[in-house]
Amino acid sequence: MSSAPFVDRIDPFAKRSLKKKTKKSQGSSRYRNSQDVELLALPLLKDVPATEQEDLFIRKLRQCCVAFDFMDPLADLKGKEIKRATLNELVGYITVGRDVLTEPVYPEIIKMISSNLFRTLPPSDNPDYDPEEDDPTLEASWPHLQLVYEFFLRFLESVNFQPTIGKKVIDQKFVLQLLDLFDSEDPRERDFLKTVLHRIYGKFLGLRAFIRKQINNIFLRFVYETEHFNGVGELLEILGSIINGFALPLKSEHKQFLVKVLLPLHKVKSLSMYHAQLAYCVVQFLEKDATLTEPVVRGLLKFWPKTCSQKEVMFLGEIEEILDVIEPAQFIKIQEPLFKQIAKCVSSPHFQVAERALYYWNNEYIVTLIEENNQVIMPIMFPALYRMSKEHWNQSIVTFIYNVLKTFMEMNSKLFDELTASYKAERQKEKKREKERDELWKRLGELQLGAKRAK
Amino acid sequence: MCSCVQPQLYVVLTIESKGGWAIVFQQDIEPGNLFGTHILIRHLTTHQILYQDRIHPLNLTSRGQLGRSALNQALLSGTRASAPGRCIRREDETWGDRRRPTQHLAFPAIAHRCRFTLNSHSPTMSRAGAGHPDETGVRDDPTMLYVALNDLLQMEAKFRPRLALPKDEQSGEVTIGARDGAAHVLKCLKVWYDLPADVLISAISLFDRFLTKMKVRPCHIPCITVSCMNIAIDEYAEVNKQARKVSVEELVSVSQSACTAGDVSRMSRVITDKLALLHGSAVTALHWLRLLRRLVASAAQEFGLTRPILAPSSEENLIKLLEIAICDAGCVNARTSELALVIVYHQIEQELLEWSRESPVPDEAYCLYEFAAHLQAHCNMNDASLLTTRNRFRTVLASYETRAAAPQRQRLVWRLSERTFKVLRPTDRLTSLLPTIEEQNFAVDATPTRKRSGSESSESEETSDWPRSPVLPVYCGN
Repeated sequence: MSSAPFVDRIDPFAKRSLKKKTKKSQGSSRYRNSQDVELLALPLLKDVPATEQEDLFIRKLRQCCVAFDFMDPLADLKGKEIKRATLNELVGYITVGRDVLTEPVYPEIIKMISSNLFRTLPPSDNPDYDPEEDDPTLEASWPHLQLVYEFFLRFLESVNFQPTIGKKVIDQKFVLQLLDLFDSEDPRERDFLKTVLHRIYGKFLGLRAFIRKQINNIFLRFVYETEHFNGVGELLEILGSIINGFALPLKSEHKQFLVKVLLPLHKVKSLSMYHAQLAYCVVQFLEKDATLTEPVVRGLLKFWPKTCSQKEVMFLGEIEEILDVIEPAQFIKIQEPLFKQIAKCVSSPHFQVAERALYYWNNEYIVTLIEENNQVIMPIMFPALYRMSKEHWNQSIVTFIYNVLKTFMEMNSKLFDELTASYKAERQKEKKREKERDELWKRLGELQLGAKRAK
Repeated sequence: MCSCVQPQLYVVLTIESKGGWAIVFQQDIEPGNLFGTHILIRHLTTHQILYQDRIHPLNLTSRGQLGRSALNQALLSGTRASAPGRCIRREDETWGDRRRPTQHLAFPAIAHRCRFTLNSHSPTMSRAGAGHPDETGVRDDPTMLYVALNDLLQMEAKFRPRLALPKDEQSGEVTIGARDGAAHVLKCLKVWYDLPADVLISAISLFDRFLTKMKVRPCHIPCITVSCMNIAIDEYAEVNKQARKVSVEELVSVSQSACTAGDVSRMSRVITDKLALLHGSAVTALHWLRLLRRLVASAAQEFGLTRPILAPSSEENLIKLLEIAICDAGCVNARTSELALVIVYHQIEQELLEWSRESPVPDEAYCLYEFAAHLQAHCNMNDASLLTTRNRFRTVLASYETRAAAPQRQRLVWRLSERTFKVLRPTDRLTSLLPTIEEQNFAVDATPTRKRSGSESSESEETSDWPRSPVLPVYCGN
């Protein structure tokens, strides 16, 4: 009888199985071949006559369809090296080769790419992976994947590439699988995917609407269902270049995209991962069509963060970028609700929020806009500023508030004096009311005591 | 009856009347004629002049005594001296538009309406109508007010700034714009720390007097400004026996004067020395304003006006007007008494205007303008300078009313925290941008467009996959 170590079955936290769990290998590395296939070392392409090159090319491509297990660093080193060298050679071959992209080669290339890239992405090693805080889990088979991506890119960018032939093999199904890969945790992979998709979008007009629609689906799922997707930033970067190229007047489809997809993207908790790209997209939209300013600003105000101060600071930064490019006529439409929110930000006890909001007054263009409309804006900002000048705990904020009040005084002395006087009068009235209320309570208390004593 | 001589400006006030005779105080107000003060004893109905003498305008109490003794003497002796009657025609351009319709004011009419007693102890003191007590229920004693007036008059010249600043920057001199900028800084500090108006006006007065005396470099202006405020706060604290609420360090840090608390203390001492200041003794326009308000309010009561003019509640508005005036260099060089008088009368005009909107203003009210001329004479303000001051004040006030932006803007310091400075704008963090893809653009190797009749060829292979829903979001102007 083997002396098995004692396992406490009552304690639910005790290890039930003492067998060490082997780590499940990543999909890209899962070694599926039932038989060991040794990769044959094929001759180099440059060493064969031109007539045989196409055949050899295809054979090498097929060779590269074999997957290798990178979870085990020692497995099959020879095969891995052959594949790596082959891929490297192929990259060079299509870069310098002339007329190497013949029609039969296209489907073989796509097959090779598909077999290497398209895989189920593994669940994250770290179940509580926080994209903002934690380091990503990198792709184990990157040595091969990198070359496959490189090859793909050179293929698409080649002067000999013909979209008419390409569109037969790069179809919607292919693009869909490509898009799924954007959820990879490995930023290098996403970077390649970004460039690849960008080229595909540029070259295949027939796929453009489909790509846009699928990206929208991904975003909507991200915002409303999962709040998980690693590739939002990269997709937004592609969209940025697309938005930049929109023809005027903007199609309603694009305007809907802005309001229904881009603005809600601001709601998500992990906004900081892609805020730069998102803000860029929004500002590009406004540069294309200034009449979109009102819906954008109102949308941002609707989604204004109420509990996350870091996000508030981000929103304030984005609003400043929007104000940098705003037209005066559009500014007038949104000034009231916007400055009401800014007044709230200035009153925030979080010093960074207050600081960022007050810093708007260091922006010459914004100050010009405020000056032109000071009759509307000063009365909105004044009470918050005046109150905070007496109450805020942070000295540097108090200095900023002084700066803003001084600027206001220089803009419109009369209005400033009127607001000061009316604010003081309001305070007096309030104090009086409070005092009266106190008196009333005191009297009631005395009455009650009197009544009690009478009994 | 009387030969009309050349019309001249004058004011006539009855001091007292007894037995049909009135002591009349007549002031000739001609440009340059500061001493045309006559005291006359004239009969109320026959206009005969019994006694006429020229007296010194500053010698107020003696005027009353002189007149009274002359009157008594005349009555006792029963003599009637004859003196040529003078045709009295008033043409007073100095005081505003709301004059009574008749320019020619007959003397008896004045005699009945405008009575101003100088000596409250006189038994024959009479007042037309019931006076309206001011809101505190205490009436100012006119004699005391006049005493105070004389005191101020004597000290006025000592505290009068005479700024001669260039408009544009030349050879490193302080410009008018810089002076106004400093005044605005002081005003902002006053609002910021909720300081009383006395402190602000005192500080600006110190500043202007210091600049009158010393030639300073523009780079020192911020330090001088804060130092003046510092001195003013100290003075006020001393006069009111209260501790000062604002420290030097706070003043320095908030005003961003780029100097230390030590610099400000040193500069304050320099200013105090140079201006040879005695504690709280500077006479500013504010002192004048308060005194004149009480004088005029008291006169208004004497005239028996049913509505209080220049009640203590008007003081706030007067001070506001003064603050507006002194923040502009245009009004600085005026005599503080003139400026105060101009402001007081501006306020009176406004109050009378308001009154006229609700009910007709009695004629007595316009006696206030005569009273103004009396004050003007008493203080020896010549017309030209008074008019200039008034015009300057009106210009400054008009510019304030237009809600114009100040021509100079202070360069303020914005010191951001590290964290905020790192990411100011989200797109600062963008590291790469992909090349633009033009919509409706054909890639290099695209198939040539098929020729269609009468339709756009763009996006011929694209299908829009967004459902064209009839329901569009509210803001998409489509």
